[in-house]
Amino acid sequence: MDYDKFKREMEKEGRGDSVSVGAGLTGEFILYSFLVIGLFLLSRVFGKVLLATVGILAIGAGLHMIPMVFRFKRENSNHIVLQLFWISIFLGAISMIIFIAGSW
Amino acid sequence: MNLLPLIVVVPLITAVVFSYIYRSKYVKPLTLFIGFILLVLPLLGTYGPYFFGGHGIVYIGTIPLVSGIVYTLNPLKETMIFTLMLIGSIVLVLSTRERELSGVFTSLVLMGLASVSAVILTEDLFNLYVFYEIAAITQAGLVILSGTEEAYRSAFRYLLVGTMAGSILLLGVGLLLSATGSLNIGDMGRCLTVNPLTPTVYGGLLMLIVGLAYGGGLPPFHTLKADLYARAKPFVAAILQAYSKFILIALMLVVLKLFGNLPIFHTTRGVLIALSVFAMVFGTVMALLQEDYRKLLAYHTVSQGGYVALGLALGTPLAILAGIFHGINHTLYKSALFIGAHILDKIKSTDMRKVGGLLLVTPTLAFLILCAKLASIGIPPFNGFQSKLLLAEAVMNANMPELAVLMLILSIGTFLYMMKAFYLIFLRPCSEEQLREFKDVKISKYYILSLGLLLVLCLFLGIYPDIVIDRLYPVVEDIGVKWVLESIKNS
Repeated sequence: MDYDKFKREMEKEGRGDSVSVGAGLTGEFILYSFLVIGLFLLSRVFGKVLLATVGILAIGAGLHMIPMVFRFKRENSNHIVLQLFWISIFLGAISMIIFIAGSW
Repeated sequence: MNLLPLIVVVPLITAVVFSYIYRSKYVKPLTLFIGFILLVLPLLGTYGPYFFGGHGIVYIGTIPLVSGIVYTLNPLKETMIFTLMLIGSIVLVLSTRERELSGVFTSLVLMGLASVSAVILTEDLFNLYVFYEIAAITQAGLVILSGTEEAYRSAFRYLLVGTMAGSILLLGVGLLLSATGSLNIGDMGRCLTVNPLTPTVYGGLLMLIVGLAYGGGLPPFHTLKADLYARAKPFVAAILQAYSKFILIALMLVVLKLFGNLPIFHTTRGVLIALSVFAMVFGTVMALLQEDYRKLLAYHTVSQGGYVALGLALGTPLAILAGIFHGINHTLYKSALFIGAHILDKIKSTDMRKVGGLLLVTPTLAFLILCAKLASIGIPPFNGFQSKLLLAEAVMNANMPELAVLMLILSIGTFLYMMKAFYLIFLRPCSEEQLREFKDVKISKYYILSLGLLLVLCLFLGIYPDIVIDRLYPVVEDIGVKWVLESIKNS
């Protein structure tokens, strides 16, 4: 991620000082590391080629969306609609995981 | 004579009394008095079970089953309740320095302490649900008392989602009752082990996880919790985060006791680890983006909750020990940080853009807050270092070195936002006029003493962690999931 481009994005939010830009870039780095490390872990634990491929796709999508941290911040806002949306996704996802695992 | 119920009954009854005399001139002295009484309560019970209402063990055929509600006390529960009561006591003592103290505040804090203690002590799933709900309502009430529009909104949102999450948890309790015929957690666990798994049991497990994520502030409920901490007065947030942390630990232990020995735990473990890692990452990244110190601390709480949940989700005795020890440590240093934020709020504001240069005004406060920050980052000789090291060791033993690497990266993030906050608040140059304004504010000695006391405890547990570890290990060894260790050995 280009520092100047990132700084311009931060300036749009009125936080273009070097301390905030440094913190924002660290956040970006952590999100990206999380994707990479998560992929390593999942592909090693499950040993599935398909999973690794999906993981690489996720990282590719992440790279395409860079900087991810601004989108991430919007999704983590206190807006009740967004909160309810993610709660619904969560309920659906863990229902699927537990019931599919149970039916095996 | 076992006085175990008094741990719950004393705060509950005094909460009712305080809500009745809420405008009395005796509220302040009585709050101070009950603040000191709280420290004695955890020492009243004796280890072992306590059967309410003359119930006990009944035999159906040759099978022993628990009749009625039973509370149990062991060194693990005693340590957790002592930490909870200590934070409650400090918050109550500090509340007497506030101008607008009313009996309602004391009443809500005591109600919360009683309900979280009951959640920790009870072995009955329905009893746990009832006190879980009371704790949620109490937390919303404490936030509303801060009196701002944002606080009302945040508490309303928390209760709105809580209505749904609480109902789902109750439905889960009902499903597990229908599958096992009992509400006692031990009996339910044994029944589930010997009977085939049905969709009812899967449903019950799913709903318990939803309740756990809401009560403990794991994703996707983390934004609600963070908002709640950020909108409450900072010293009140100290007790709110203690409530959430111990509810999280208690519910994770329930999941381990009920499902730990079932084949379904293999998948459940994966779901819980994923939720914990999400909390760790989301909390850290969001904290990095904050300009308000309260919000930064709120998201830091979410991220540390992820560490606690990760330990418990891994399921090995060492990991459970590390998770619970980190929960206790985090409660101590985070309370210190929130009290520091409260002092900052009194001086000027918790908005980091509006303050600066406070090192020249309050060097003692700067030193104490720096120590609390070092504890939270995990730097020796403070307690945060010991529990994070133990957790990293447990993660490596559980054959998940990737998570240890992620923990390391997140610690760098934590270091960065904590030091960013320290620089902006204490080191950034500011005008002479601003410094004079800051110097005019008088800080009560009570705040500095409370901060100092918590940091002494952090330092003490950092140097002598075995005092807590030796008490907890025999208990968590029984809870630890056996097959996890075996599968690690085999691999």
